[in-house]
Amino acid sequence: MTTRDLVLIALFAAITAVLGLFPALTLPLTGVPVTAQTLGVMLAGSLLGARRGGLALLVFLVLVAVGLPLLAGGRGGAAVFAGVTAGFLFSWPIAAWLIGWLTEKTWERYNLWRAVAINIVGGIVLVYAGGIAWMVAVAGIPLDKALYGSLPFIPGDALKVAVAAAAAIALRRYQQHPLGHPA
Amino acid sequence: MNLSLYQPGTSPVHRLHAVWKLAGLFAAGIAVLLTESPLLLAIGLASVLACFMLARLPLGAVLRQALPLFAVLAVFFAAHAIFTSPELGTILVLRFATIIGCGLLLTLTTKVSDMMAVLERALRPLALFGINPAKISLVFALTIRFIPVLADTWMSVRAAQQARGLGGNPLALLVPVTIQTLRRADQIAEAIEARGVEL
Amino acid sequence: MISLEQVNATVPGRTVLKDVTLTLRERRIAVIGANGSGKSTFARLLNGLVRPSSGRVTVDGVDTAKDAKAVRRLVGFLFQDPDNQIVMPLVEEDLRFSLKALKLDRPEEDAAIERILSRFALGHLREQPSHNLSGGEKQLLALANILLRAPRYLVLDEPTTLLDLRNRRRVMEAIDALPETVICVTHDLEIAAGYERVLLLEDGRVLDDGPAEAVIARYRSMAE
Repeated sequence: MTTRDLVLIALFAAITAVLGLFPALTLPLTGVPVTAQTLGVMLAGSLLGARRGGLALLVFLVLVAVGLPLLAGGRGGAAVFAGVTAGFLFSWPIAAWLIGWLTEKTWERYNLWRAVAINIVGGIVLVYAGGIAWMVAVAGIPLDKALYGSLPFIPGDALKVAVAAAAAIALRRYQQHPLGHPA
Repeated sequence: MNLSLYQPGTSPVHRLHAVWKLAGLFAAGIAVLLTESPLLLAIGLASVLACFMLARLPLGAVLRQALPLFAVLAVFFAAHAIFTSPELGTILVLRFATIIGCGLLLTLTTKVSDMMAVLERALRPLALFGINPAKISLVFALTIRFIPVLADTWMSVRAAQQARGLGGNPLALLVPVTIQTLRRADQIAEAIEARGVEL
Repeated sequence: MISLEQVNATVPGRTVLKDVTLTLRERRIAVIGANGSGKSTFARLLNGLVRPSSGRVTVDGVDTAKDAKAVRRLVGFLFQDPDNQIVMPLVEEDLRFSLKALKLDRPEEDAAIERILSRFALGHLREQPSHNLSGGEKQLLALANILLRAPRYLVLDEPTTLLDLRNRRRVMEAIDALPETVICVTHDLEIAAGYERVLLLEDGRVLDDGPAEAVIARYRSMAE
């Protein structure tokens, strides 16, 4: 990895943190805050590619774990990884990696609709799969209940998918190819 | 901007080395899975609370972090009481509360720099796989260094876009901030190279 | 002595510097010219951040294209934006980061940090987050970082452009006091006026080269 790669990883971890400074909306009943931070997941993946994007989110989570209050609402520390909804957090680096990988694979044919589709796969399907699997396996919530409980978040996340895809398209001429050679 | 949850203090909990506190957190994580007895779990939770008393932390700082987590637990308990059984809900809530409490205690009584030092030691064996621990440390330091810088960028772009009547458009914010960040990345990388630091 | 022999430099798609041959040995050299004239690329050639596409740049006989590491030890580089040159969260950590390559032991590092901070009257900021510094203090910290490695030459790329008047003066005073050779790329003709030799770049070529007064007069006449 070049110095520039290391800097990009750090700055996208930092962007994800800055996105958390937005006021977080907490949905009624379930208490899961809707954050703009999944925008960071999708941006890191689609702009940095699989390796650097995934690492950016991993760095972000490690800093949260060691005690920086970087999650929306100023939360942080080891405790948040023990919560009922920690599965969503754990899936962020994997989602960024997957979005990056799919972006790299479709780089020559990348357009808004592919960007949307990729963000749905990584930013919604994978994140929810991780979050729900954790609720079922660790917190013992029945699958159907975990599923219904997560549904109210879909509209917010769909909006973020669209925003992140449009941003990725607009930013395409400012970025290098995720695999390293110029666009 | 305060980028740390650490609450200064001189209690035995504060003075305990970060390694032991981390070890305690992991031990607690395993211990709560070894029993289903609500009584034993309650004793575990009570001893975590006793550690909080020992640490003499400001109540406000504790509650600010604890309340959102425990609000989720309350909903979680209600869900279990309705859909499965209150007994199972009790056991699970006690388990979660104990681990969350341990994590919170660790975070509130340990400096980020001490945690980073432990992390860097733990990552040192990665050198065997050709991963340079100095690079990892640099990435963490850069992230902490640039969060407030990017927050400033964010606020100045937001002010500019509001002045142009684009305040409600997330793209008008996200795109310029990201462009500035990508440019900044090039300049930072250049400056690190110019400083002649060998990683 | 830094010398450029028939140097061309390109960025993807265009030639930024064309056939530049120069010998730099004065203690204070300013480089002026319009935006896009090639000033920044010229500065970056001097410490190997940009390599010539043809020709040769040598610093005290060391070829920048062959031994970038040695060249960077000889030539320190100060950038325009102070924020992007500071990589560590705390002032002290940032200085220590620069010292890493020198492989000193801890007390030697501490002493070096103490010395450089007091030289720029920044001692009280040692344990502060670098983000809390003013623009001028940040630029002085960046300068301190460079000087810790005791370079013979300092290349400054518009070091005061982003600073307010007070901070600009503070940084300029610090630079004026440096015993090292300084090559300063600047839009600030007041700075250039005090220098021994001024280079005027235009469209990638050295249009004029000589004492400050004459070269600045020519630059001013071009704008009219």
